[in-house]
Amino acid sequence: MTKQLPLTDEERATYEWQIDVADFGEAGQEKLKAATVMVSRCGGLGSVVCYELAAAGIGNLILAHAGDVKHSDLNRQLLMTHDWLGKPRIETVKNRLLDLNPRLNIRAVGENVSDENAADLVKDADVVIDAAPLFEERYAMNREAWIRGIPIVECAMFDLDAQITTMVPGETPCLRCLHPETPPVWKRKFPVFGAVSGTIGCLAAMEAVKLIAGFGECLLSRMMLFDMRSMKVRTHKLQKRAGCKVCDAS
Amino acid sequence: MQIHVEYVAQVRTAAGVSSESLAVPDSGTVQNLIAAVCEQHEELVKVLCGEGGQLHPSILVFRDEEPCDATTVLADGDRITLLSPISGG
Repeated sequence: MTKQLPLTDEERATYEWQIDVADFGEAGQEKLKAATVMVSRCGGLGSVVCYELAAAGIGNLILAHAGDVKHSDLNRQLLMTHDWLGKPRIETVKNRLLDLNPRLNIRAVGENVSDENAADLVKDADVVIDAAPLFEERYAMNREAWIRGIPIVECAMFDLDAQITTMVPGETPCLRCLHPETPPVWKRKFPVFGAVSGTIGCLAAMEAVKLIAGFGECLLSRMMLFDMRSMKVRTHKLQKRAGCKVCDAS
Repeated sequence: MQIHVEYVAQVRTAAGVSSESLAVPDSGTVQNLIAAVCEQHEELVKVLCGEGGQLHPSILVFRDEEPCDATTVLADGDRITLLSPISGG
């Protein structure tokens, strides 16, 4: 990812604390400004990813999230607000991100990712963030990103557990390598605290920033597991699956 | 031989414990371990197993930090982690 856009004086002033990170610098900030990140969805994980990326000065976001704000969103979906109950989630997401960073270009789509729209949502992204709950939409994003050589940051949570890994086509396993089939037991609603999803959302945003700016070391072929009940953190290695239909087709 | 098993996320919820040591026949495989954990905790069958009690392909299994599969032969004292897929939301 070598695209860069020159900074304005206002942007230089806004981001001076992170431009001071030695191996990031103004060149890294210019890469963030030129980059596009696609996030599906903007819930407990995705809200925090988007907010951190907006704060960091990402130039462009493509956001996919259907439905209206519900009471049960408000324990973790930090871009949803009480005054927006019953109204489209994607509108409050866009409004709150622009409150923080009015320079941000946002394509806000009030749909979840599906086989029908995945290619259109993914095609212009430099990085995809998978923060979606359903395996069907995750598989659709995985397939379209892999075809186009676009990295995916995979993040997930359950109860007080969270996990994250970064997948790069041609280098690492893909989602289908890890989970070639939908799990035998999976419920759309599961136990979680907002602080758990928020923690892993911050890490996902940092992975995206490193991928785009080309510094640091991402979680490639490694999965970091957090047990926030015992505060144990572990990293496991991951490997490609022989015969993976997504990797073999790309 | 004794195998130390660690359960993560839904697997932990179904097992009701976060870790334990279980006996597996010498030269046993991960699949033998899956049979042992399912015998110990009936709820794990639907979380971990596909047809015929075989380890479901969506389940991630690690020996220490390394990935392994149902055919991996275990050694006394191995630490095995069982992780079912989780998502965002």
